[in-house]
Amino acid sequence: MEHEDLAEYAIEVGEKLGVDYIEARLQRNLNNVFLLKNGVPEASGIESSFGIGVRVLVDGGMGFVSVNHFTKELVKEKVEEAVKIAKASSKVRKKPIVLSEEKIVKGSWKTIFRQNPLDVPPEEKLEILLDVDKAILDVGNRLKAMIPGRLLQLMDTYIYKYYVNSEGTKIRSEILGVSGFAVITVVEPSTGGFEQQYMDVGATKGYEVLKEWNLPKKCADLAEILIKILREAKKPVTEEVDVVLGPQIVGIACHESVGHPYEADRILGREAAQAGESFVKKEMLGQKVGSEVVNVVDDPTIPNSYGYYRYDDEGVPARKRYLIKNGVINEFLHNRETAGEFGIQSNAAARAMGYNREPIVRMANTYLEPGDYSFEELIEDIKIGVYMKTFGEWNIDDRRFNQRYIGKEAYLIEKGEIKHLVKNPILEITTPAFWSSVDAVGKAELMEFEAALCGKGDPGQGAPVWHGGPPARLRKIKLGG
Amino acid sequence: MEKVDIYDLADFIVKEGLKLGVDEVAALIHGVVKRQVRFSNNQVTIAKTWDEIVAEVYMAKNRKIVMCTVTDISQKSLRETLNKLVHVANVAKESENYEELPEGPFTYKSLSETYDSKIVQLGEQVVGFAEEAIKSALEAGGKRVAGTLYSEYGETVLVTSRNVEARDKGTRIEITVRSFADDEGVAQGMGLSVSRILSKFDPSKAGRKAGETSKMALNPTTGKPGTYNIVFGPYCFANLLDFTSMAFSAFFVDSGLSPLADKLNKQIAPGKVTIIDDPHLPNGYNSRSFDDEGVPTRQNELIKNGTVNTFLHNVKTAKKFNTKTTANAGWIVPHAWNIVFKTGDYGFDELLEDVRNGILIENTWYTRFQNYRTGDFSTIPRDGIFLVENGEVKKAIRGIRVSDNIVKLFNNITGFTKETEQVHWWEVETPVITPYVAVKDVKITTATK
Repeated sequence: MEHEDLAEYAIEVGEKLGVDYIEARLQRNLNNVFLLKNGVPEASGIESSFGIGVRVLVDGGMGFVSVNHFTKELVKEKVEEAVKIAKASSKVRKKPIVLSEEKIVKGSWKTIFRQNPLDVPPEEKLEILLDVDKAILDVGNRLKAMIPGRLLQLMDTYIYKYYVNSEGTKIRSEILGVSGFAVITVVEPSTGGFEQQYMDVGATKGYEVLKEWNLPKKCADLAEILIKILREAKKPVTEEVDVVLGPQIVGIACHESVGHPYEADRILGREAAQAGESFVKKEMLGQKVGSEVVNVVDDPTIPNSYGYYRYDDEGVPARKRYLIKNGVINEFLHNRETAGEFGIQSNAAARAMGYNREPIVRMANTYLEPGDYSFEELIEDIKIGVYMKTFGEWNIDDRRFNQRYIGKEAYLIEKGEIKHLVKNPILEITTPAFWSSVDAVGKAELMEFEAALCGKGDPGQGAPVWHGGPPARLRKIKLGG
Repeated sequence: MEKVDIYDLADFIVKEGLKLGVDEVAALIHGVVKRQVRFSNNQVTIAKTWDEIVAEVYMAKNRKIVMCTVTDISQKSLRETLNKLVHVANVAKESENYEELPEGPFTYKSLSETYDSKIVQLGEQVVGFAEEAIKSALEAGGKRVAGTLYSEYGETVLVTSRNVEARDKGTRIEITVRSFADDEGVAQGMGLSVSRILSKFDPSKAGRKAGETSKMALNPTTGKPGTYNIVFGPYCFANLLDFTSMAFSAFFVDSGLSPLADKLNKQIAPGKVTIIDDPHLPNGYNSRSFDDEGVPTRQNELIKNGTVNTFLHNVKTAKKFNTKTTANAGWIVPHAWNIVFKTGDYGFDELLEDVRNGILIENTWYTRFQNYRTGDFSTIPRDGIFLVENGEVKKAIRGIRVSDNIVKLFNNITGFTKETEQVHWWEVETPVITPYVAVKDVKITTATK
């Protein structure tokens, strides 16, 4: 790729200026985006960014600059600027920033794919959305319901990175991905009631993934269940019950109440001004926080996952991380700065979403490891309970302690059997209570993942992630809200 | 080095686009130099500088719309991208909502307090503002202080093939300060200062507000669920108004994502409530004299005396809704510029006295909707939550969630203060100028386990 020499030149300039550390990342992001609203193509477009981000460490202070016009003079000027602001920062620090020691890596990696999205003609991409729209409308016609809100987007992504640092690490990578979302609003004509749901898909894979997703069926099924919820859902129970959560809710809970509070930069307070801190403290490593069947993992190495990478954006080789093992806090997510503070090695959680963003601690693919229960076994001894298969609204406080998930597709469980739909059951619960209430986890074949863009950082960096797991059972829960 | 002239760049894009045979082209170029200082644990974590040019391009051919956003602005790369776009336009489908870009030239209003050469001249000394805020928060009672400072200067240029040429030069400076008065991190406070000119920027005041609030928030007890009278602080209400401003966008109305879809010309709030979108606000953080289609911007009354007065439109949504543009383009999604809640006549103490018993919520985050069409949502208060008893702010509480409906919230407004604050930060994207707002009968929930 052109301009790699300028990334290397930035390192030269920094070294001449006597920095303690410097890294440069040449990064191109190319997105092809297609948006369809209520069957009408709103716009088709390209989002393309290309530039160099440079991060330096000088006298224990950190500076970051980025440029998107490529001349040696400008790169030199900006590295000098980075050094200047890092020095100014170091004066407002009591303790210098120290990066963890890591191995020097020289390598390259690419996404594995069969059909390059960039080779698929744009008209075919638009046709896919039109097929999805038709499938949704067919459901409305068949069930005599209105579906006035159909917002659909399909996007393919190509990301090229050339990372180089003053320690000698050099890594090239090329990532291809496909993602999409749908927001569907259905109306029951007889009552005027509305139901609405959002759906995300995403993978680092070629266009062959569209066949696996079968978006027309996926969206038609979603529209159908929304209509059923409108027509059939009854009030949820209010007494204390057992609750079975579907993979989607298990996944979001792993992400929100395990992944985020285990980010070491939050624990150390670096994100305190915006995304917040964490109820988890450094000294809680090894402490019991859930029942023994709870094992939560974050793993960037799952091939073709939405959060897949081989090396992180500080050049550290990716690996699987056990955040909770047998109910005990096992490991936090680290970049080189937080690992340096903890006196350990990074576990490769540094990610930057564009050339103009610093790498910060992020999740990749976060999930609950499977247990050995079939779905039938999970519900067979429940006299009265609720199966929350999917969620609509969710949120969690900035210390990741108090969370809430409102069921979208949810059912009453009675005497070990799934019964009628229930409307908007609310699980509002603290994190320790959530993970301590889990007493059974579904088998590996019940595992499912969902794609999302995780928000963090200032300026914001939407990181592609998966979260998921098998269904899990929680005992003695009072649904409310 | 030789600087890129962003007007020349816009002109180049429009001419190249027309050469490729499209019917119309618009080029919106942003050239900005932005500085950031992030701090936490009373020390600077990182300082950043961006020097960037971003080009947004809109083209239409045979009623088919294509767009791009690019940062690679070399002529070679731009030509390649425009060619790709034209190829997409050739095979794309017609947009039923297509409408021609407005024909210029237009005359634009000159804005006041939107540019300050003193901000342009700021270099690494912006770190000093962070120090000032940290010191002030610590003196006011904080133990750990975190935050973000931004300063920026730049220019936005719009050139279209319909005789539009518009330029907007501006500066901005803002600081978010968050203070924690305990080790656990539950005694929190936040302060902001948001300005277009340096003389109205006050990092010490922001730090003091954060520090004082965090001190007041010490030793909170867990809140109880129920229905309360709530006084929403400006940071909190700005977050709700930011979401509400999207509900006024005709794009979201048309997408089934607005609770106001069937509320045009209907009363949704008491008669004393008027909320406007003001793109000409002096010192307004997002004031702009032209929209992305080149139409001169103007004030729009969104809620007039409690009634929904208009949605926000570009020429395309206006055509679909059989009305005229409100000069809020967004080529696809119309959006507000600066949301202004017109002030009331209460002092803060009078508002509390009027509320008598309830909860004061200074800030919130993670606002999420169960259903954008109905407006059912919840949000998580933070940075100072206090019981109000007998018209006075009393003890701090924690662990509560506002779980209600956004339209009902407007309907239940009982009062608001004279004093307002301009709010723009990580959780409030559209700048909002709002007072403290009192709302009756708001549902509060808590964790059940």
